[in-house]
Amino acid sequence: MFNASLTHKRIFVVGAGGIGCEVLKTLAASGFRHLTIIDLDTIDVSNLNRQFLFRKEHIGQSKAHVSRSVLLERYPDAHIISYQENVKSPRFNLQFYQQFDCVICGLDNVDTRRHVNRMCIISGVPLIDGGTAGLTGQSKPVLKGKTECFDCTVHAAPTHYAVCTIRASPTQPVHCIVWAQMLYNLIFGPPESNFNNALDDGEKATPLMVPIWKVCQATNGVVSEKDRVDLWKRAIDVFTCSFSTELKERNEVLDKNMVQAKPILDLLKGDLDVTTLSPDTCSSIDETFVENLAVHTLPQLAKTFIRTFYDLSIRQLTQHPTQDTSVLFDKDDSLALNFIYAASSLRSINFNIKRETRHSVKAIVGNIVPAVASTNAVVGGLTVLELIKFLTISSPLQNDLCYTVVQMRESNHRLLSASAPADPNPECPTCSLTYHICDLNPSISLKNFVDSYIRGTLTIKGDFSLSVSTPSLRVLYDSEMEEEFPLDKSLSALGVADTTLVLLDQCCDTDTPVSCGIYFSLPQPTPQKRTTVSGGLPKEEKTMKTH
Amino acid sequence: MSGDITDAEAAIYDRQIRLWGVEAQHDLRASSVLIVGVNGLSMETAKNLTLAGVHSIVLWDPGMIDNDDVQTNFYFTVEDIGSPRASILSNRLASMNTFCSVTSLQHSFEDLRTYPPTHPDIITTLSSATVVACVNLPQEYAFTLSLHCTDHGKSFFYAETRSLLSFFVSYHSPQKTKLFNEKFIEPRTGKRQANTNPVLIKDAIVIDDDDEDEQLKWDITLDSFSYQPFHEMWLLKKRTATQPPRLKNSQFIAANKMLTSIRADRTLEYIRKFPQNQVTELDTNELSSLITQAVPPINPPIPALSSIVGGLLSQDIANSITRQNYPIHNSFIFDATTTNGGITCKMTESIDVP
Repeated sequence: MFNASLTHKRIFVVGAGGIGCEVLKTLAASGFRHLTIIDLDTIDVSNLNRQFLFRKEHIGQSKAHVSRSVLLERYPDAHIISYQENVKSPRFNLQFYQQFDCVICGLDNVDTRRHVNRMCIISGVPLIDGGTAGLTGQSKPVLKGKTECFDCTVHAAPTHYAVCTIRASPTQPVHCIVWAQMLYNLIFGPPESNFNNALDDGEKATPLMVPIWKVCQATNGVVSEKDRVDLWKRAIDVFTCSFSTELKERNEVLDKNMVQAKPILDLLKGDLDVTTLSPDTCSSIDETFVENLAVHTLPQLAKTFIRTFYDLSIRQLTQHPTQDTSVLFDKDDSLALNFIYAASSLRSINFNIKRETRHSVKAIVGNIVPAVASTNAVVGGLTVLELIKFLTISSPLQNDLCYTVVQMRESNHRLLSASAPADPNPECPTCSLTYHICDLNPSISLKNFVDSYIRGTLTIKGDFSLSVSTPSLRVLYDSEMEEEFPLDKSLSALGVADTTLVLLDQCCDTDTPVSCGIYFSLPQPTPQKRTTVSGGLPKEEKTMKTH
Repeated sequence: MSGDITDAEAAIYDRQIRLWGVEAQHDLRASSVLIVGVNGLSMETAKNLTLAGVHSIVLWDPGMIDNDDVQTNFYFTVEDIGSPRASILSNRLASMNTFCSVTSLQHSFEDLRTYPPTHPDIITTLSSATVVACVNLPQEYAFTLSLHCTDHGKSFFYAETRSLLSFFVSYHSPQKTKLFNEKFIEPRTGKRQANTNPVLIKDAIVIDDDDEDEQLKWDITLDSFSYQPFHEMWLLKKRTATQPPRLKNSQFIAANKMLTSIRADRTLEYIRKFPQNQVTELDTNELSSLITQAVPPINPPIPALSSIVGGLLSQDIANSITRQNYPIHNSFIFDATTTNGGITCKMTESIDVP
């Protein structure tokens, strides 16, 4: 059912991953020819089980650009723009959103979804948000003033573990894994990492637990023979300290009702003398799938810890010689994963906790959400169906829209359950606000802004406060403590620029308190002109990056 | 595919192994799916199964690509018009996963008019398939394939899109059902661990008019321990109502009609082939016209619907292979106007036609 009226509708597809690929395919097959794709990510081998627009040869390339060129090969008449960028970048401003008839969002994180949701609310562009996890998913339309938005309900925050649990009294496998990740970031990661402080509480900091680049340096990318010998010794010392010496000290000062930790060296007795190990004789567990599922012996884990510590140290010094170049743990870094696996397993043995396989450790440290093509196909199809429905209805009402929940298990007899979207939450921090688009130049002073714009143009009376919402909430002005704010400074000097959202809160003692958002939008051309690179071009130009 | 899952496979399948486990991936690798009828819905189904990593897929369709196919199927281009549907699609899908073999069969469906089929190509294709899925396939052909699957203990699926309604039904052999039940039935109570309350079609499809429930007298019960073969679903034992069927403007009726159509359209042929089954006379012409009026068939299917129903169908096929989730019990209906989709239960042999 090719629908010619859809050809000229402009759709912004945020995320070209599992849902994005499905959405793009279904949009194109349904007749849409004006698509804009954004995705910051590059293609990984683990995407290929569901992100079907991509092939092995695309690994490492931009999801946005590859999906664009694949679509253009099939639909040479399509107008497709791709951005390999963060959608939160200021260039994707109000004018940018206003060019679209609808936004379809297929993202994997709450933070970015909230941003896109807010931009859609401010610009009034309809949003359809798709999400999947395993065999469950949802398609949710957001229409300003008619339905609840993404922020109308509170989204679960990621789990945090008490530092003392991690450091002193782990009881679950995940505690040991978080501990191992902290250890990794402390020694091999950047110093500003929050994790560091958790393990290193100042009093008990051991001289061993310092970033490796502080220990020695690589000269011209080469670690000297002497340093190598020292690093090997250090690996054994960290092993001995972390899994034995430190825990013996802990056991001595322990309350009677707390569990005694079992030092690894005591358990290893006779099986392995770690002091005799050398880089030539000590190998780590193979990075194969079979080993991912295997249960390993204590000597294997000990050797792997020491070996990977040493290898990571050498790699760190040659590739990331200073704190500025250190990187946080990456789940696809198999050496780092092996280290964290060995460290967490050893700690689990210390505290007599069930051990996880390397396969599971990866999921926990990498926050991996299971994903399969079928769920994405269902959710992608639902978002496009919803889109077509409300593009073909002249003025959709709440009841014309469907919020659909997907539960692909037979247990509840309804694999797809749809309901009309809920009403907007009057308390919602995002969609309950009135937004004023301010095209003032931020070079004006704060005082001038307050007097002429807030009190003048917006006719706000009484006391109020202003705060800047991005990147994190901070107070810009409070009329009750006016003298404490730099009234003569320009707004731009105070961090207000194009795309900045300023929130205005009026004190409750006024009769009609106002709460609103002021969105700075400078009159300027949109980042991408609407004349687009069309598909009928030679192949070289088709794959051209459009920004 | 034999032997252990290789590192290269594990790297690609990582995110789904985390969903259904290594054993399930092994089961998928040992399965061969035959998809009969190539359109947008079968494309989606085949695509998801290719990505899931079944051992092999055979796409069977004697037809050539036409303009409708190109308009609605992502994998067909204008240059493909006039080329065989099955072989073009199998080539396109094969590049998606090198660990899955996707091939095609262009033989005419006419050889499915007799059971068992005699043509060597069909015999070979059928014997290597562990699952057969028919998509918008004329029912007389699906009927033969259903018989084949029941006789050989294979899983059978039949999917169809009609207007904004789509559905599929499934059959699994008693041996296979036993395996599902061993995994999902609680031994102590004999009940399935999941919700065991009977569910009526009206729960799957939104219905406004209460008294229709009375008039239709659908005798639907839940029997979690067996699946009814597709070809037996066509058997209409009796027709109690003496009044002529009435058409009602409701989705419930439409959905019922759709399911009934499978039975009614082919009842006479069924009688011809199996005279031992006593079936009372039925005016199929009358019913067929009503069905077409209520739910016009649609081909090619709407891409968004294909994506949704293909996703659900491929997952149900995967569930039946891996036994990680209880497969849908007999039939699933999706209503695109409300985006509701639910499972209806096995019909008993006594069905009143409205």
